[in-house]
Amino acid sequence: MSIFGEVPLAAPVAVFKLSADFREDQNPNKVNLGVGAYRTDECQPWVLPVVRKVEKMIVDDHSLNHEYLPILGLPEFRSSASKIALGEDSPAIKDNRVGAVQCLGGTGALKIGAEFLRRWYNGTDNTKTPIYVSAPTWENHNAVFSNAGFEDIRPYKYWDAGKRGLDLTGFLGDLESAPDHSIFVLHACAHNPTGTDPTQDQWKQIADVMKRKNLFAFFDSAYQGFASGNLDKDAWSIRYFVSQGFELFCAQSFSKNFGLYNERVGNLTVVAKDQDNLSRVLSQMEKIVRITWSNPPSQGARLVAITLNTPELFAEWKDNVKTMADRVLLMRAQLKEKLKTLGTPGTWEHITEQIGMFSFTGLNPKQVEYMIKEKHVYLMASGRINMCGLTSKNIDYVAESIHEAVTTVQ
Amino acid sequence: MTSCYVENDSVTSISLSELHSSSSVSDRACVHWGCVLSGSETTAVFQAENDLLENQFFIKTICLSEEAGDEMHIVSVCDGVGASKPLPIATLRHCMPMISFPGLELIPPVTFKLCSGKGPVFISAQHITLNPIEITDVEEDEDEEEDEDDEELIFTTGMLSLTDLGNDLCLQWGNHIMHQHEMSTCSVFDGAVFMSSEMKLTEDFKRDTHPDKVNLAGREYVGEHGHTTWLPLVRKIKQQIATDPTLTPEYPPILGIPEFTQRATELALGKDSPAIVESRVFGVQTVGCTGAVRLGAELLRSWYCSSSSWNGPILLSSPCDDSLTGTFKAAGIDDVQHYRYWAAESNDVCVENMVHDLENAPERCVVVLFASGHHPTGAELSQEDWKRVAEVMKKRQLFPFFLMSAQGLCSGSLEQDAWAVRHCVSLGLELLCAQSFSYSFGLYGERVGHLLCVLKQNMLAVQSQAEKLVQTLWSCPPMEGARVVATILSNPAHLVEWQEGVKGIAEHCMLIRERLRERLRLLGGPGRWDHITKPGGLYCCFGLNAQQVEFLIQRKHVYLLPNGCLNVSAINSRNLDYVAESIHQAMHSQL
Repeated sequence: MSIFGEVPLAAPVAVFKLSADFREDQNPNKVNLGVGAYRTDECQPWVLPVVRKVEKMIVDDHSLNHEYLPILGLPEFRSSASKIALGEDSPAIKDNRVGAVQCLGGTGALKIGAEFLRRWYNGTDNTKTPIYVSAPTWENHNAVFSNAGFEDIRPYKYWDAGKRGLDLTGFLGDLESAPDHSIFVLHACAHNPTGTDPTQDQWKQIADVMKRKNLFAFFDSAYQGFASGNLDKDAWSIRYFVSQGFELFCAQSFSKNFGLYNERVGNLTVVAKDQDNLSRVLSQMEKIVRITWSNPPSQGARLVAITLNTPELFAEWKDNVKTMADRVLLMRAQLKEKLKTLGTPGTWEHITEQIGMFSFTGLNPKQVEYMIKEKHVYLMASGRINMCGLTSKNIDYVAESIHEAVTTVQ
Repeated sequence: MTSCYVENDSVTSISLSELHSSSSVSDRACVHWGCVLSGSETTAVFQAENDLLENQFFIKTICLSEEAGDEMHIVSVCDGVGASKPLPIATLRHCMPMISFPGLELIPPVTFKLCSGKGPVFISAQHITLNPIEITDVEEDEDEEEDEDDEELIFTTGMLSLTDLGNDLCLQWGNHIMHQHEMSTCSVFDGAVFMSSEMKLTEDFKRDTHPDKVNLAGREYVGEHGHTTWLPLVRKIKQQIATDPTLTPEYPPILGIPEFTQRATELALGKDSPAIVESRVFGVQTVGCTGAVRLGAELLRSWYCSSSSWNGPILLSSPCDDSLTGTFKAAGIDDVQHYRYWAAESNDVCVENMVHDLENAPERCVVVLFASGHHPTGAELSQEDWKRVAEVMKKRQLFPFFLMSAQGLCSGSLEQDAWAVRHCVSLGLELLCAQSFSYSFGLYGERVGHLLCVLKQNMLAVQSQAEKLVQTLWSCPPMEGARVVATILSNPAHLVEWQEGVKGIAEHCMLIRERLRERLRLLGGPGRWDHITKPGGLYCCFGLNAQQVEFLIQRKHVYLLPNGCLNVSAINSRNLDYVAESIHQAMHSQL
């Protein structure tokens, strides 16, 4: 009899199941609009030219040692990554109250932040501090915070399905009614899965309430540069909060904007009240890292650090990022046009109003099923599509499929 | 205040008035002093009773009781000459419950105060009294080299005063905490400072400017030249990977790439292992060995014995790496106990003790076993020992969680180093095994680890739960290192070259051990040196006491781990003599 005999089979992760089903599908017209990774117009993954270049540099550099990185990660990576989020001339950086922990992708950064907050925020080991995540949000947010020990994870109103936009009133209402010191997970830009971001004005209103109620801002920034094509624009919300004096965390991922999905490059930026607080926070985070993965992996961090710290490479990277963002913007524009041309019922403005990799089409589950089963166009049950899955070759087919789904299925 | 006096066993009982000048240890009276601080008794004072004698007071350890609550505890102290304001010297929580002092002298009267937390907190110290005439003589000699024939009494070296310690970085942070508690908190963060003993050693070594300094407390294998190494093969494969147009930067599978997990599994169990043939084993590519241990711990916590939240007991060896305890506790397994493993008297594993402790362990508890390369002692079990251990494990239904961080590096043979794991599998036991590829490939920075799960049944379900847990930790693992390992292990020619490399490392370590033993033998003095050459691999333990270790670090600038554990690969032809002499001095001088 096995010790693990009673363990139940866990439900597969929806997005990976989707990809698995897609792979098995033999239909020649199949399109995968599921998983969140960039694709070229040939529907291929893209190794950024600057990344190829730096990879070779690294492997040819015989002076690099192979030792464990420091527990908190590669120093030049951490500081340059934080600068990217907060801006070169950030007053917080000048005040020496910004630090960072190199983590295993955005997930790892959320994990370390969550573990720290559970131990040291709002008292010690206060597992009852409410964590608010947007409704909807990236499906892993819940699991990361819950596994870190938090008992009370709640949704805050975000997506208004009726008007296909941000439910600001609901959002502000949930902020007002949240217990003081609650933690709010905010998407810095390119909200996953809705692609709908607050405007600058709306961010100001959000920040006002959060300040008043001492709510903690934990930013999730996985798409900086990828959303608008402009790094500074995509970091506006984080920088605004910092300027308002918030102490905050920002979990950064370099998977998308560097195309380094498989090297797990992430950074947890910490903005503290002062240097003394910062050093204490980092010392505790070091302890947490030590018993999670000990030291982070070197490859991806080195690559990013070299790129960010070398002016020509940095410029080339920004260019590469803009290439990706521009292609997405193009696909958005074209999809909307085609749907309008087809006369597909409903408004499709949200396709170009939304930003980043994802779009919440507004298709209901039945229509989604139709898309998958009848048209072999794979998307999430929520109606979320990955714009990167669209190419000049398949966009007509996808537009027609959406048209059919909307007109024939209620 | 409860205080207790315990006579030091090594000192024959003499009255203080009988003290006279001599160089033997028994001329000074040395007693242990202790007290307990708690919410009801937050202050304790040590007063020297006899002012005619020189009183020396060395604080040794401050330790949090198991019964204490989860809150942060801070102990501060002030003494007869230090600042009148109490100085915090210990911040403790359950995950870091004890702090030892390498020789902190306080001048009586000494006042201890529990400033934060309700305790109980145990404080232990050493009170030494001497005839004052001797003191003057010794003070002059303090800065000179030790001389065994010297008639004068020689004190423990490297003593610090409270003022010295006040300059230490740890305490600067501690001061801030004191300040913090006195004023209202303006930050949302209010936490204690942490610095593990291993991290502190590394920091101290870095700051040390002594030309002869040697760091024997490191983790990595270093070659004769003093650096970590790569096989030329590893560099070649990395170049191939960097220029391979077919390799795409996709999200890898959550559990890692099959090319890697399959090879890692075969390496541990052998290609024709019944578990592999019967498809009741799966592997997870993890972020280093720590990641594998953490994932294994999370898996056990969630699913062991069909409980929704199993929290122990889990048995670790004594001694063991303190981060290991921390990793299990972070996963939610609070009940961590220890089985006796390494015995000071023999400088070796004491199987009798170990088997006894396992026989008496609660049925079905989890036992962490070291397949090869125990950290930090390096002590190994023989195959006969393993047979006995496995028998007890099976009989009492204990669950083995193997750590195999250096397969091939201890004996030079991959099969031999994995024997214990394979033997347990052949007995039909279910087990977990955390593997590291850091040492055997020199890929420390790449974090290549593997968690092996051998089950009797229900493999797919457990695998799916492992996937869920991985997503809350790191989503999916980093590819670079795993690709290198998979490429090498999958290619027969590369495999041979790699195995030769591993054998080379094992042989190098054995050679250093031989040389060290020879040196120590030549230097004379009693002592058996078998414990140096009996085990293989990186680590070796000399069974030194705290004073000897402190002597080596403070006076000789030879950095090693508690109990005198050290990494032999950091010893090379340039520092061998110095290291041997230093160890010799530590063991045979009056300290």
